[in-house]
Amino acid sequence: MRDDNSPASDVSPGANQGQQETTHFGFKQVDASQKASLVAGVFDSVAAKYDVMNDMMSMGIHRLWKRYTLDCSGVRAGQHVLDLAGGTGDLAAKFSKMVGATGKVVLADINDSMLKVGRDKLRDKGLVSNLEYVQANAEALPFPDNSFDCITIAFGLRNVTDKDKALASMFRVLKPGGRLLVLEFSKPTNDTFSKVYDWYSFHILPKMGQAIANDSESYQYLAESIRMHPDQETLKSMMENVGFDQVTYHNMTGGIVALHRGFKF
Amino acid sequence: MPAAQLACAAIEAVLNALISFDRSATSRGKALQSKRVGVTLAESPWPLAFQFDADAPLTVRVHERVDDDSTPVDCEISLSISTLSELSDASQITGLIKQGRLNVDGDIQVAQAFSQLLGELDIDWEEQLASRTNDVFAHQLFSSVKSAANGFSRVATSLHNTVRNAVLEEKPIAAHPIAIAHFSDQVDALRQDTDRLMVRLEQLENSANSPQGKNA
Repeated sequence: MRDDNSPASDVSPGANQGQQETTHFGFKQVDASQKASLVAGVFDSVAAKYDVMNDMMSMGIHRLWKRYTLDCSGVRAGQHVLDLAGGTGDLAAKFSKMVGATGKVVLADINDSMLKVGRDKLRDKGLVSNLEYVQANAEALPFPDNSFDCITIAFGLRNVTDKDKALASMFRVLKPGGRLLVLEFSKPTNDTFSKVYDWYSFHILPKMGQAIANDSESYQYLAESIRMHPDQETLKSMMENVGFDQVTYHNMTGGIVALHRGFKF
Repeated sequence: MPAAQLACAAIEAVLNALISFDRSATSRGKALQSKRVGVTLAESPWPLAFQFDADAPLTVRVHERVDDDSTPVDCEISLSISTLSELSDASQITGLIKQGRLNVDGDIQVAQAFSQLLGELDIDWEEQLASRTNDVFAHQLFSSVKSAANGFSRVATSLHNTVRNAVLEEKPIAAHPIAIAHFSDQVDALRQDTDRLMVRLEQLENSANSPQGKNA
């Protein structure tokens, strides 16, 4: 098992020459080339019940975490926003209103099932004019350099195989003066709270997944992937290493979630 | 838990619901479309921004202005909670500004439109209830509430008159208003008399102490 404070890179070279690179998938070590398809399997399985499960698991607090992300985005009318790993489009829907008719929001996700659920949901809300949908890998974003005023990735970075590569790719497509917002599960700041949170994550969460989405394994992966994700300071260093300036983070709900913010100048 | 976001979400939900209940709100709030109003309450740690959408029907997004939020506002309003209720009357705005209880930076017409939108909300609650239940139930409920309110008002007036008669006429344990007014007039007259006497005494003292007075 990888320690939370281990070096930032997710991908480890094989011990012997000729061995394939490995990475973590929850608590398991898998070939780096396999992680994307394994993650895709998880999200294919949970896509239909994703919103319901988010509300159940977080008791609705995920909406407030996302609200804070929007408040920190500084997005104005006419700007271009990339909502990476945008899933079912919670942030994209709000951004669509914020940028108005003269702006543009790109909802990108590597997973086709999630993208379809998001697209259907936003169209049902009547949001069509300034939204585009792109199936894209965060490690190799298919956009020109300096394209977006703001990029958000909410609860998506921990599923990316090579996070450094993904952050570098985001830095490339961000306009100078633009900002990246990473909303992600993190490390609780209080030890007692952390133990309660661990118990909830490994005992309650999979049971809720089984009861509601008939899929305990995916939610077991969710709990494990949260533990394997870099803590607040490590992620901050990773963002600084790829070139982001003025990187700060803000803990929410005792550090269960942190919002990292970095600028490209 | 992000408390500011929870408060903003609650304000936003209530405000949008109230606006949607008032059929004329969108036409009245036309001046607010695409406008951003900053509101700072003296008692609140969170400066808020009310961003009105460009499209009809009128909707508003309420959010916390974080430290580095440089998005310009069309109008910045600073006030205390006690002043909020007086904002409903747009004609009071100038007076409140002069008294220093309200500070408005930017487009004052946006502030007035914002105040009017909130102050002139005209909601037919019976119709709102009828759309969620049915006409008969809503009408009967509102008729019952209105007659109960009228009945309560009648009982309160009757009780007030009974108690008033009892303490003033039957068992005179309280002074009649006319007697109080007469007593107040007498006190005023006495105060004026004493004031005049004081002035007269001062004049006499001054003349007695002056050299001319001593010589005389």
